[in-house]
Amino acid sequence: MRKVKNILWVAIALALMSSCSGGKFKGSSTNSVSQATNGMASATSVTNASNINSITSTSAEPGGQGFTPCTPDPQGDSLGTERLVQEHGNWCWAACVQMVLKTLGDTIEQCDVVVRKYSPSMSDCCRLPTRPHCDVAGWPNFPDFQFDADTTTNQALSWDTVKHQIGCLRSPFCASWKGINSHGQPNGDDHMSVVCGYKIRGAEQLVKILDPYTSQGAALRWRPYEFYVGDNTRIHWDDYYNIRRLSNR
Amino acid sequence: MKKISVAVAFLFYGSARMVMHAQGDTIISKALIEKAIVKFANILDSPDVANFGLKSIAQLKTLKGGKQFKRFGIGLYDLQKFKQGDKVKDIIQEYQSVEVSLVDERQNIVTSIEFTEKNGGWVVSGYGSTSELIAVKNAQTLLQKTDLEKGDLIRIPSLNLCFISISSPAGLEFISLQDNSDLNLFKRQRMSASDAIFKLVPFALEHKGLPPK
Repeated sequence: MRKVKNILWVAIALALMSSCSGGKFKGSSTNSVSQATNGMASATSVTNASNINSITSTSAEPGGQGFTPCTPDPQGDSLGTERLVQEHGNWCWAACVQMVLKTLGDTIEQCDVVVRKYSPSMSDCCRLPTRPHCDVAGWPNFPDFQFDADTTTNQALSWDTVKHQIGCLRSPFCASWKGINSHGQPNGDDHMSVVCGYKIRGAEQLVKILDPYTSQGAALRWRPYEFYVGDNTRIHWDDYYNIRRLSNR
Repeated sequence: MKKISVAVAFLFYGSARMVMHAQGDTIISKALIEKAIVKFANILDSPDVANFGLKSIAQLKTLKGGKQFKRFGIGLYDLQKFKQGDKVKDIIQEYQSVEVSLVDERQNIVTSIEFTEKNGGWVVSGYGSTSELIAVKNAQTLLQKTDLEKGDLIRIPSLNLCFISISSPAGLEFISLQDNSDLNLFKRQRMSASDAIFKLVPFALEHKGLPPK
C-alpha cells in the first residue's frame, strides 16, 4: 500500500513538472533560448505532457493549430531575443528571420536568408554581401531553414495570439507594416520588426518590439498593442507567426 | 504705475516666449511626461535596462522631459520623385506624434517616450527611443546646443537616415546625425536641405521596399 502511495506521489510530481515545462521559462536569455528550442522541437510530446494544462487552455487560441495548449502568464512574458542590426538597407526581413531563429536555437547569417530565398541569382551574397544586387528586400521563407510559419494578410495578430506566441510557443514573430504619409497614402516606408514580449500594466496591453534598423543594436521599445497594430505613420501588413521547426529535421 | 505694470507684463511675456522657443515647442505637458516616466519604470524589466540606454530603473525615475521632437518624415516615394526646382519643405510630412527626449541632470538625452494624438488628447505610443532618437542621442555632443534646441528632427525611415533641419536666412538647412560613407555624410555636416535630398535620390531609387506578394 505504501509503495502504491509513493508511486502515486511521484506520478503527480512528474505531471506537475511537465505542465510547467509546457508554459513559461523565465530567467536569462540563454536559458530562454535553449528552453524555447526544446519546446519547439517537440511540440507533440509537450502536448501530451501537458494534459493538465488543457483544463485551462484557450482551445480557441488563433495560434492553436495543434500547438501546446497552455495559459500564458496574464501579467506578461518576455523572450531573451538578441538585438541584431540589419546589415543592409533592405535586409530588415533577413535580420528578423535571424533574430527569430537565434531565439529558437539556430544561428544563421542574414546573407543566408537572402541567398536561400533568391538563389541562384544571389548565390554570391555571402561571399560578397556589399554587391549592390544583394541589398534586396523580400518576405521570410522559413522552410529554407527547416522551419515553418503561418502568415496573416494585411492584419496584426490578436492580443490573445500575441500572448500565445510568446507565453506558450516561446517564439518571437515577425511583424510588418506599410508606411503611409500624413494623408494615409502609401509612401514606401515599409518595414519589418520582431515582437518578443507582451505585458499588461493596468488597462494597458503592451508589446515589446525590436526594430533592426539602427546602427547601435536593434532599437528596443515597448508599445501599446494598438500602436503595434498601426499608427499614424504605418498600417499593418503581414505577420509571420506560429514559427515552428519542421518535424522531418 | 499702470503703464509700468503693463510694460513689465509684456517684458515677462516676451522673455517667456524666448525661453520657450529656445527649448523648442512644448506640446506634451510636464505632468503627462512625469506620469509616463512612472509607467515606463513600471514596465521595464531589470535585464532590459541597458538595452534602453539606462543604467538602472532608479536612473529612469530621475530623468526629466527634454526637447520634444515633433514627428517629421520624408517618404521613399517622395524622395524618388524629387527633382530640380522642387522644394524640400513640400515633401516633409508632419505627423501627430511627438517623441519627448528624457534627459539627465546634464541635459544629455538618455532615452525617450513617444506620444501620439488620439481623440483630441495625447497618449503614450512608445516607451524607449526610436532609431532616429538614438541617432540624436549619439550625435548630441557634436551638435551646437542651439541647433538641437531650435531644429526639427527629419526622419527618412526608408534609408535609415535623419537630419536636424534649421531654418536660416539662406533657406532650409540639414545637419547630418549619422556617418554614412556610401552617401558621403558625416555627423554634424551642414548643407542646404536640397543638396542633402539630391544626395539621397539615387539611393532612394535603388530602394525597393518589401515586394508585393
